Amino acid sequence: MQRKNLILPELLVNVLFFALAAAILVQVFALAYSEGLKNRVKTEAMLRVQNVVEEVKADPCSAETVLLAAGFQTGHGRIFCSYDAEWNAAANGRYEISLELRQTPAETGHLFEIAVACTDLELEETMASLSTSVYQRGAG
Amino acid sequence: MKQRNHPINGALSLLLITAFAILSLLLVLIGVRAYRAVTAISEENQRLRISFSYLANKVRSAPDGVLLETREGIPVLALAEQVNGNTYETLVYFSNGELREQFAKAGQDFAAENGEAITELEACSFSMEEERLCVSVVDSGGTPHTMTLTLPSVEQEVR
Repeated sequence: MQRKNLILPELLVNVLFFALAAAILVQVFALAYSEGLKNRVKTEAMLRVQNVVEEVKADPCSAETVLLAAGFQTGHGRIFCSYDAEWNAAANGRYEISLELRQTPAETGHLFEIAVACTDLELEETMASLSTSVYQRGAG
Repeated sequence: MKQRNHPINGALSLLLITAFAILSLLLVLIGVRAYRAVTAISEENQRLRISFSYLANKVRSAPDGVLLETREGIPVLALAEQVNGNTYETLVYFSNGELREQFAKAGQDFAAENGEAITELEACSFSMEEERLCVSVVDSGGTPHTMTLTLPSVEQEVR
């Protein structure tokens, strides 16, 4: 008889335990989904950063002109462009791709140091960054 | 002394079990949906990364440059190389929803279906702008992604 009375509390404990497990599981699913979306953004960010690096490496001397024509802006010693969440160029957007180009004169040419980064302005987090250098003979 | 089992206890237990079963089923369904969404996103990411890194590595490691040609109406990236005095070509192209690669002796007949599938894509196109190769890929969601590669020497040719 004592055993029969225990059925309801036992059930309640079981349900509570499974409810807790379900809550944790839903949270994990949501986290995995948001991480997947974040990864997609990171892939796109890295692709865009790579494209800017390739553009600068092709001709570092005229890179600024080419990028400005492509919608980039200059300010605070860097060239930058901001994008909205759908990666369309927009003022005060969510993501920003910035380029820092340093030119060091050498004996027979110039050394160009290129640093490109993509930042999530909302999270204040660097999504992707690349830096490289190119030596150009007789460039100036 | 005998305690009477109240009928409401049984009903409540049954109700609890039913609610538990329904909620468990709901949770499983939500889980399946979330899992499918997560794997779809990661698969899409992987496809995009594989296709771009494969193309970038192939193009950068091409010893004799890259040609953008049209063979049998299909835009093809032709990467030539010398093997034992013979010229061989690695042809990279998009056909039937797949990015494909074909390695053959230069001058051999081209058949798109003979190529080895690298990855599935919604769409993929190549274009040359001055000394840059632009690769545009469309993912299953219809979003276009573009990669630019700077080439040391490129030529455009239509066969």
